[in-house]
Amino acid sequence: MKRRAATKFLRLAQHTAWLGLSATAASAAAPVVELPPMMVEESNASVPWLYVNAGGTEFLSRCSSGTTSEFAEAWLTKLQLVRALVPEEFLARIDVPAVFVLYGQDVRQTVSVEIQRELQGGSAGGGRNGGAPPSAGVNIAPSMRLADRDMHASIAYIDETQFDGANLSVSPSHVRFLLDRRVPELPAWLTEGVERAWRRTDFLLAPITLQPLVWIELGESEALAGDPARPRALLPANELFATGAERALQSRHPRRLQIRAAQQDLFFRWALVSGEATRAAFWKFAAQAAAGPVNEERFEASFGFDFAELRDRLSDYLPRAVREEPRIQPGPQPPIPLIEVARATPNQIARVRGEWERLAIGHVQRRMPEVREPYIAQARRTLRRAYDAGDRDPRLLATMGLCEIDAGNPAGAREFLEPAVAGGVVRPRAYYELARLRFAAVQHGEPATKMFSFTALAPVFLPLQRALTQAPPLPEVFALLAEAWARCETSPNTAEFAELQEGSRLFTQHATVAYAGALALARHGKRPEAAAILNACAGEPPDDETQAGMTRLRAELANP
Amino acid sequence: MRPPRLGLFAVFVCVPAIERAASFDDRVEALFRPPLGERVALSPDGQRVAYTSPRGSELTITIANVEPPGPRRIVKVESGREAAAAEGEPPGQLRFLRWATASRLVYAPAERVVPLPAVVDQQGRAVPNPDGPTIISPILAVDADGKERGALVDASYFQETPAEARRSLADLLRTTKELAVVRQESVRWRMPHLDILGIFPRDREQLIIGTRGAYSIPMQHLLDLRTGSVREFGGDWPVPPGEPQVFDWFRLTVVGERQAAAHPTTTWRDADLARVQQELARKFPRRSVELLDWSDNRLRVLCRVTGGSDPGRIFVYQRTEDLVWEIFHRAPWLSAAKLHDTRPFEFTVPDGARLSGYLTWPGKPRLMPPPLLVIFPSGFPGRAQPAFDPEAQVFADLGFAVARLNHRSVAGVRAEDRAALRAAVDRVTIDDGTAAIAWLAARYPDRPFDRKRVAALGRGFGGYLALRALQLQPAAFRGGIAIDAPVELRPWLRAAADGSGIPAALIAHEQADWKKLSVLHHAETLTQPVLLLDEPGAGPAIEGGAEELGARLIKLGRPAEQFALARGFAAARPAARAAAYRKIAMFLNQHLGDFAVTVGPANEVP
Repeated sequence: MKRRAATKFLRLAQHTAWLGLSATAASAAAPVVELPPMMVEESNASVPWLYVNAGGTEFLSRCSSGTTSEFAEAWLTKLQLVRALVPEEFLARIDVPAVFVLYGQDVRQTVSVEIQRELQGGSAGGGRNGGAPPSAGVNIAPSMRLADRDMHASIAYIDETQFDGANLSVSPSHVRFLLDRRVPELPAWLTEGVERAWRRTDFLLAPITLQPLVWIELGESEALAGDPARPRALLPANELFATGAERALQSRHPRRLQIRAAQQDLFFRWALVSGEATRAAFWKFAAQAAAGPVNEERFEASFGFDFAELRDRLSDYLPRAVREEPRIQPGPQPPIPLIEVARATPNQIARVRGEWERLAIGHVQRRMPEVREPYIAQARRTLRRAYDAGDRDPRLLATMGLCEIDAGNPAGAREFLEPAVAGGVVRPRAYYELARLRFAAVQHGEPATKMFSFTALAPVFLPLQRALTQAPPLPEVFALLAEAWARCETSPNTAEFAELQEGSRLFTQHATVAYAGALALARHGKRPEAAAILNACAGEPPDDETQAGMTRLRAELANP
Repeated sequence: MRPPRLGLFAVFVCVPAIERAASFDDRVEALFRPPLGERVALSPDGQRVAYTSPRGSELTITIANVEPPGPRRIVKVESGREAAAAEGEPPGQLRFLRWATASRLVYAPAERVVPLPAVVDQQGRAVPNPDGPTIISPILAVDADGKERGALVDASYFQETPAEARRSLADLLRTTKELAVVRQESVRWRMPHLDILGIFPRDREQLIIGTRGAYSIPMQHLLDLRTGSVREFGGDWPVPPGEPQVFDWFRLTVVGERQAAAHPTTTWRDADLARVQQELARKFPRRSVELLDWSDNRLRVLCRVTGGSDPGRIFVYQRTEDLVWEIFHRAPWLSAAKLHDTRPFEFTVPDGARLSGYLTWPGKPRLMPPPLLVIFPSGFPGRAQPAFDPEAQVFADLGFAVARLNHRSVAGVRAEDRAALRAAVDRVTIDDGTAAIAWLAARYPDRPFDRKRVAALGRGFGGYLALRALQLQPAAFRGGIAIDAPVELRPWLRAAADGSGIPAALIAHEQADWKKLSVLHHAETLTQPVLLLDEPGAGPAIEGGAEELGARLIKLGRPAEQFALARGFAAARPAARAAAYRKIAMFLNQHLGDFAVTVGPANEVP
């Protein structure tokens, strides 16, 4: 069987090359930093950019038309297999098209001279690909996926001589992304369990084949496979289904964490292989868990038996799970949308490629901030080329605004975000960033306790409310909306109150959303509703300040 | 040659029928197979568990590492019983199983007393043997690795002669056997009973044992587990308390008490163990958790978890990691997914009494709603029904919902119930049964059962109640099965003496109205179908009564059947059980399964 090489986004078979500049030089002890590839400007000008827009994804490709078409088709086909294991309603709905950049150019040209210079730090010598030796512990990943709050983009290197679309499969991290962005938020036991099971699932064979479960570690799994009566520890169901806040109080013993991870996987597999009724019960229960904390009665209403029996059933299934390779029939799949490969326009090149390069800034900033400037410059160059040519597409403007935000230049962002939002761009984060900048401007120089008129805050509310109409809903939109209402002299109307409550319903794991929402409701006299929001919050406060604020607010609400 | 058509038909019809029968027998065998871990012990360091594991008619002990798990070792229990054990007879049990040290396990099979054959006196008459009986009660030990195994001592080691048999200093120095050799005349001898009293705290390789009976006063000895040598123990070691008290073998103190209740409950005197109990109760909601043993530092606690449809599992709670390790499933041959949902129930009736029991719901009812089988408890007040009952599973396999009832007095007779019970123990219990039926119907609308198809079943005193239920509540109970049931309480109680477990003060008192309590006396009121099952040797009070009741009912033209149970039914031998359940199923299907069945007149009797 063809084995797949892991990449950040897709598992691609032999046709992917690992472009690590320092694969041999990197110290084994030091973690390797992976930097996104950066296509040298028009290094291969004779190869045209091709463009495909299908299935909610924009593909910008420098591969041949055939490879581009095959890749796009394979990608959309494999995405359907995700839905074969996870129903559509449990995956993120994202209105912003995903971005895919495909290239097959000489790998030496994927790093700009500036970056090479930064990485070398002035040292001399020859690298594996004929270039200069890189600094230790740095790789340029040939393929990578990067996610923003409201979309994701990928770049993939394709060796066209070996490419076979059938060998593609969707990586676990992408499945996790789709689960994590789903609203109402899915519980951690589900997202982690599905992701872990996905890692041991073979989509190249038909039907989908689950490879044997790894229980804690391989040796333990083999021992269990050989001895089904081997002692084993499983978490009780009430601990397995604990909310984030409850988990924070549980023992953090490494063995417990290993068991939790394996058991979440086990539960998902067990549901998948135990028949249609159990599978339906699993998703019914998952939907309830997404709506709020679950209890034994809810579980029993879905499955027909109680928590203790679930533990027993999982324990009994475990020796089979570590041994068997169950197969899942994906069932009939809907047809793939028509894929039309066309020559890319300057707007498409700048916008799609610029989007990828913008996302790379954040990644580099987090991993290796000393080399971020060339990435910023590259993104700006790409985006500017279309802008300077007169392109005012709101999507381009939104990307340019976000690029400035990511580059640490909020002052320069508004010039692009304002027209993008005015143009009705579909980009929730653009609305949020603009509202944030406007709110900061309103508050500038004012005391922290000052209340503002509705008129003053209307420019903040409007983009946030527009953002709420687009997918995915962002928790920071609800939090900022609540924060603004908390500083508003005027009370929200019924619909606006409902918006504040909706935030805590969708993001039960986000204590910041719950806290901000509860604070705003309490400020405007909705004390029982505020208390209800705090009580329904299943997430752990991210910092001491939020924790203290929530405790204080709870106390205030408890005293009439 | 072409087979005749009739032959083909027979092949097609009979093969599935045979397969079904075999599968039913296999299922009954699996359900009634003795479970693992009737006795279980945790080593003082918490690293190992030892538990009994019956294998056919043989008893073995399994030794397993808790964590990290390793290979299990099986030790055959050599109790000297094997030769006598009949084929198919369940294996004996242990009376003691404890780890003396982290690596040395001590165990003792249940004592066997074998009378010597009668002797003939000078007049030629057979008289009881003045010697003996032979007492077989070996104390054995084995290392954790399964080696260094064997009997350390047995009752025969302490065989005694009467004091007068030793006439000289030399006699005093001789063993009983040596004495018998040197004497011309026969020497009388007896063996004492051996009790294991404890493990000597200062040297855990020393076991404190006691002897009682024979010719001497009770004595205490130290038994060296390494060498098997015995020496007199100077101290006066207290006898460890048995059930219901829970004894801490490390701290040598009573730490709790098991309570007679609808579900296994322990009242802890020890705050730490009470805390562990609470923690485990949270981990196993709706289950009964019994703490069985613990390591000397109590960081690992051994417990048994029962309830639901599961026959029970043994866990070790590792407190530092907050993890509960499942060590073994008591019946790993039974899959949880193939067992029928069983729920405990408990509610209060208007007079304030708590009624309890279990409802088992068939996974695949044959009729919807399914008929209900109400099982009355065998004794009075009797022990609480166990959470897992193989019989209930069999009936659920056959498509019945099964309600197993506890007596209202299962946790002790309430003062306010005393008068009613003394006057009419049958009526109180049967009224409770009908209250339970009504409550279950109201409480579980998602688990409906056919109120028109409710049958009563019971064994022993429970069988008597099942018959009385048909007489007292014929509208509620449309059929009954009585197994080894007395139809007249007075002779049965007299014959059983204390063996019935029925408190005489409540039933067999001077004011008892035996006629009112009699099934036989009101035979004509038994209008509903009745199945009487008796095991050979159940005793004249049962066999004769059933015979007479059956004859009277047939004479009255009532639907009554009698069926002789195969030997081994009471001992839960699978073949005997399967035959009985098949008969019961046929009876119930005939009388309850058919909607067109005519149900007899329903007149309540006083």
